[in-house]
Amino acid sequence: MLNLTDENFEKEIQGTDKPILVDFWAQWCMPCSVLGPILEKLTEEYKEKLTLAKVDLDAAPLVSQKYRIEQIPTVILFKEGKPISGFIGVRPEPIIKNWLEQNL
Amino acid sequence: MDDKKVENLIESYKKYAKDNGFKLNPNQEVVERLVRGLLANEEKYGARYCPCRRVTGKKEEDQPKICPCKWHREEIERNGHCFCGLFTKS
Repeated sequence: MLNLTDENFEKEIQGTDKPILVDFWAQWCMPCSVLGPILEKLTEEYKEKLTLAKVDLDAAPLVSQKYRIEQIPTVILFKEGKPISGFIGVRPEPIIKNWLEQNL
Repeated sequence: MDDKKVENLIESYKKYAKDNGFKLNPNQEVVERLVRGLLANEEKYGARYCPCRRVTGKKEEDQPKICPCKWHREEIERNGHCFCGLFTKS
């Protein structure tokens, strides 16, 4: 799992062919702590196809602004350095799995 | 963080919820964590911004995000809880 900040975000996102699932979160956000383990489990399941990255809003204010993150958790799937799909808030695991299947 | 301050704010939100026909999340752990987040935002940004929304630093843009936020009523009505989960439907 990657921890991304304003300093390393672009480099990491652009520097791989493997899709990156980016989880925007913050320490005190309760829904974030519910979603986090679901994403970790699914990323483990899809580890050949996908990398998980976490972005703490406090560590990445510029990136959060660039991608217009308003509410957290927000999840964005990046492919070849570009955001291709995403969702806001907690979703059940089967729904997220289905979404990944459609987008990977 | 001052536990008494956390306790007092929980009581204050509990009263607000009751007065407005909804209630605090029955999970005390959730409530306490969110209230600590609100107090942390107050220390950091000067107001109790929702811990589940990005603070931009632009006062006008951030004003609606002060808890109880601008959207909490419609979220409670629609989803049974506000986005962050502090308030739930009765």
